[in-house]
Amino acid sequence: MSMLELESVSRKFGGLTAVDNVSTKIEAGSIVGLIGPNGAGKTTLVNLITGVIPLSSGKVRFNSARIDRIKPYHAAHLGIARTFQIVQPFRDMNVVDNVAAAVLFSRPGYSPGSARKAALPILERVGLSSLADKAASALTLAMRKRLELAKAIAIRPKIVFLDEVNAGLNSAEIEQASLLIQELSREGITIVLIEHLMKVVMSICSRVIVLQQGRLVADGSPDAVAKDPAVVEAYLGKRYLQGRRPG
Amino acid sequence: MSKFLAIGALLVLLVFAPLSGDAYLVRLGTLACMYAVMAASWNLIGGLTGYPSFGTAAFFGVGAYTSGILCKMGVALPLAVLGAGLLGVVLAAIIGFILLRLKGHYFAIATLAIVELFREVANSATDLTGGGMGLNIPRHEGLGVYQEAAIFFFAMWALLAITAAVCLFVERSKIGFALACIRQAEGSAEMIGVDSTFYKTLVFALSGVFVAMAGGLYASWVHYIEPGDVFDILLTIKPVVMALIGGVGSTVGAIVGAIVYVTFEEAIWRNYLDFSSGIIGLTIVGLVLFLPRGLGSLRLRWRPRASTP
Repeated sequence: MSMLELESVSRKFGGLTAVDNVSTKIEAGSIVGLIGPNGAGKTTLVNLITGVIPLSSGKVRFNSARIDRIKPYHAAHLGIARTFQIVQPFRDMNVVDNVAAAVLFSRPGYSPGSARKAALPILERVGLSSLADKAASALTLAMRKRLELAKAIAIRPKIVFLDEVNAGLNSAEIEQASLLIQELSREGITIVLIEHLMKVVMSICSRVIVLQQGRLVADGSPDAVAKDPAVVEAYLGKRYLQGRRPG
Repeated sequence: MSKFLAIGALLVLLVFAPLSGDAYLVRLGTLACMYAVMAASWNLIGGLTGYPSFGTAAFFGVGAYTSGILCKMGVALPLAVLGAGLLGVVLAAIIGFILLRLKGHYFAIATLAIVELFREVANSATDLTGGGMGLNIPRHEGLGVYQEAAIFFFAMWALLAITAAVCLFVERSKIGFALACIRQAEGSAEMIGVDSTFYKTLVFALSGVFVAMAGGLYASWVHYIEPGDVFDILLTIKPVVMALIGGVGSTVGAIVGAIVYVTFEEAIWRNYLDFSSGIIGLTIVGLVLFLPRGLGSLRLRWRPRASTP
């Protein structure tokens, strides 16, 4: 059964169509890569699904229920998590409180105190335990990305959108993050990975969706998508394709 | 321990102030309590939530007129003040729900416009408010001037106690946690499940109710109100300055800031009548420049910072 279903989803900003008639389904338990050049509408698509901005037209279904008019906090309660490409920690809070906030406001039955306790094992998982008492504003970029991930995990998501969690990380950090993502997937969390690093996409995604100028231009296995002329054109341009033609 | 002693001493001082027989002291005490209510209320939305409201005077004026009109109709003062609070909370909830989708300067300007709007309404609704002629609120029969002043002192003091209790509860509860999230990154807060519209509206309504009640007491205290007096922009500015003095984001800070400001203003006003505004203005500039976190930050020099909240 598909967990998330998009039906002709569009979003216009004035004259610009940022997301143009996108229809697709995401199966529960899969790791799906969402790629495309800068400005292709990847983040906008996530914003539409999570209710950050309203759809211009189309339908979104989550476990068969319509969610195209929900607010972001409601998405969190349903189990839809996302990280922000530009990390947005609660700067003046320490690391524990950042994660505790996610536990407290997304799941019923917690007090601030019990939420802090529940936050500790999550910090352990992402490797932030030693920084638990540090202010979030004091973290390095790599650590802030981990904190974003910890907050997303803390809401006990059914599906999580990871918006460039690897951008700006070194290769060892990327390796760690990839392992963690695969581990989350084994626990049954559906993952949509927005990523520029093809190495990561090729190695952990079972399926890749490609957006270009708001339109869905390719959808398939990582290998097939990487060879798809539409994708090569999206990234490298028409002239590159023409230049490669024999003769 | 020393904190409790200090609060205890303050309580004793406040309770006995009217017994000193000094009407001037009682008037000053009432004024300090009134401003403390307003500063602590502003701190809820401006300090804890990070939405710089300039609408304090709007709720003060609405409260003053509601209670004044009710008193004139013969309603007992406590009921009139409750009525003022009720209208205050309803209006604040409606206005908050509409305006709190604006941020920063836009929100500030919009709330400022509400004050102007309410003043013009009070000016125009002559049948109800007396318009520019003002509204006379009858004195209480059979009470001496000083007795009456003492009663208003205790009433304002009680209102401050309730306000402080509610604000401290909000600051330390799950609500305060949500407000801290909203202040620091509203998008992130929503994404982890904080219903920001709900919390912001709730807190804006709370910040309106006690200000309206303070306005209600004020009207009966001074017996005469007019639109320019109770919708005065200074009633919006002063609580903000007081919260800045005490340290934005802290209820205790806002209350201390109000007491410090009222005392300071009075001392300057009494001794340097000609350039009192200038001195107060320069002091505020100095405070913002050199002590941006308010008097509360002085404490940090010898005490480690507590984690929020």
